[in-house]
Amino acid sequence: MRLMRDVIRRFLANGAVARQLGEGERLLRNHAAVLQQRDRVAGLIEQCLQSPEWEVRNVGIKLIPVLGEPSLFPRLVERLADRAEAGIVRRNAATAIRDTQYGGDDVRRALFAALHDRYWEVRTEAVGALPSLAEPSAESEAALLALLFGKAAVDHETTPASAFRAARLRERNFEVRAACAQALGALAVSERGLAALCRLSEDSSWIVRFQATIALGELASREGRFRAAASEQMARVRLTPECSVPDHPFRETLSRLRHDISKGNGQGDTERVRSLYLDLKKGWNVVTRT
Amino acid sequence: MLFLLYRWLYVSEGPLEYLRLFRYLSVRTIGGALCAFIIAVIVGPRLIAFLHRKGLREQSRDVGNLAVSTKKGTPTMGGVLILGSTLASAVLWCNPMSRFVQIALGCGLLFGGLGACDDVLKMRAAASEGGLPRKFKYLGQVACGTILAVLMLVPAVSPLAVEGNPAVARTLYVPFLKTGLYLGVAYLGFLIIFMVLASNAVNLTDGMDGLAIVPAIFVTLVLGVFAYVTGREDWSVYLQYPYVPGAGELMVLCGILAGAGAGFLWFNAYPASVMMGDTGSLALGGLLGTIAVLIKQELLFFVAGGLFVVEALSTFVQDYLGLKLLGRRILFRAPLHHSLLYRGVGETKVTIRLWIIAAVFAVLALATLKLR
Repeated sequence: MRLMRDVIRRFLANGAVARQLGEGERLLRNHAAVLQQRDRVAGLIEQCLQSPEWEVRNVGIKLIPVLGEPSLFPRLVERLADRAEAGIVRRNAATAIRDTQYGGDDVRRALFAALHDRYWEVRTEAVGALPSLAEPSAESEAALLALLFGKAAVDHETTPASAFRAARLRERNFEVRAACAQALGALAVSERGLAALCRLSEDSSWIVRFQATIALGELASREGRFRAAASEQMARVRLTPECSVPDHPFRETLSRLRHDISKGNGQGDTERVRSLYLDLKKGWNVVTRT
Repeated sequence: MLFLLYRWLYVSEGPLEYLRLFRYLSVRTIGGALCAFIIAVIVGPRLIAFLHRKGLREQSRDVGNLAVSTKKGTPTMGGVLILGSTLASAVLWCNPMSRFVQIALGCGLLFGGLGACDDVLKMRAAASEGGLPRKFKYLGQVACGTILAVLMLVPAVSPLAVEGNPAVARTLYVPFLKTGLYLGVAYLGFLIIFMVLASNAVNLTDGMDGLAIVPAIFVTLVLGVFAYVTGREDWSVYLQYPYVPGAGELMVLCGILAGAGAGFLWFNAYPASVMMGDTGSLALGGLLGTIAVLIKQELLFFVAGGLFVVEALSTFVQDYLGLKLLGRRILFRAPLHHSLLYRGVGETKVTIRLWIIAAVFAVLALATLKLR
């Protein structure tokens, strides 16, 4: 019944929604226009946020970081915390919080709560927003570990750090795990964070393994005492060709050639262009990346 | 043409005796497939150069942060190669007087024409969103479906006006079941919806190099087997399928289509030198759908082309159920192959895995010959 009602309501409101969406999306494409008419856009955002259609509210949320008006920032936290709100809107509210760098205790609380949202994109964006709004601390680290391994595993104070290396991951979504790995690289402070990153660097998804390996590097560069352990773990990381992306030597060289010709100042141009010839003795697929 | 030569010139003794070979469906199927393949391989490079020269190249598409920009600039509308080589080989190897062949090729050309309009508009607008508006595309597909429905249901022109079983044209045969379902006038609506679904399903699957053409070849081969069974009285009676006199000729067309598809794959294999575009995907969907309708195996198309169904369903679930109604994504991305790409699986691996799934569906469809 609810589905039917929604369909009928959307059908009837189609014209007005299309108009609001059209204007919002035009402004999203033209940031200069947003900044030129700040008051009008602020009014439009308020209007959009009142709309019963989630697509319109979504445009309103996306316009807030473009406008950069601080009085509207609390609306982002409201939307993020509203569990009845459409998932995409909450996702974009978390993204906007990261983009606006809007901080404060209530923002952090909302982000920590969003780490346990039922919609994975909200969790991903909330995790992604943490490094820019929180300092490396035991609290941030514990919040991320709770997301990865479950609250029970983290709350148990007797759990040794090494247990996290082999612990079962509660987070099923690879995208959230990848975001967690990146956030741990910026926020982890203890052996537990290191162990969690070691666990993630053995993940079944190469994307998570990749992010975790870089995060291990970030952690090691931030906390010198973890350098040896991080280096040892990196040697164990499983590399698979499932992500290999082939080169397109002709396309890449052509883009360099066009760049050299259009931007060159004449001096040494010929040498640069000559260096682009293929050396068939080395193999045609040896290309210097631009 | 060769079949007509046999008819006109065959004498049981002398040098023209060998013309009798062209009477056999098996010989014409193999000959047609090889001929279509060779034509496609010979014409391909020239056509690709022509498409590139005319600026008929792929536009980059935004499919949610996926790196598909490398496809930009690859010549598209390669469907012309599939349709052209099929048509040329069909003229040689099929019986041109067969209503089945005429209707199947006609529908393939109609759907291909619709796809070509879409492709050309996209090139002119230099954007993948600049093609035919969605409702016009659907309208065109409905119009093509209606033409086919008229050709199928009006007894004066229908090739399915079977003596002794006039209801066969309006009956729906369900895989795994022995008895058909008589739909009456409702079959008209079913047929139109079926054609729209069939053509769109192939269209949605076409998004990566070689992804759509190989499953399409599998479906073609399955339909070819069923066309042979349906066209033979003894086999159809034994396997309890409706006997459709003359439908065996579609086996030759299926062989030709498979050969043309293989010829296209020669150039479309990763990394592709040409893409089929909507010209190819709509034409393939339309042609395969029409063949399924002509041999009365409409629902079998969805079993044999299970991959197409899964791809279409994933798009429906994501776009209509998820984004439009619930305001959230249900899958990482849609269609299915984009979701797999998003998860970090390389393009060739995704393609080959989906080919394997398509092969499993094709085998399952063949199993329905006996499992009923």
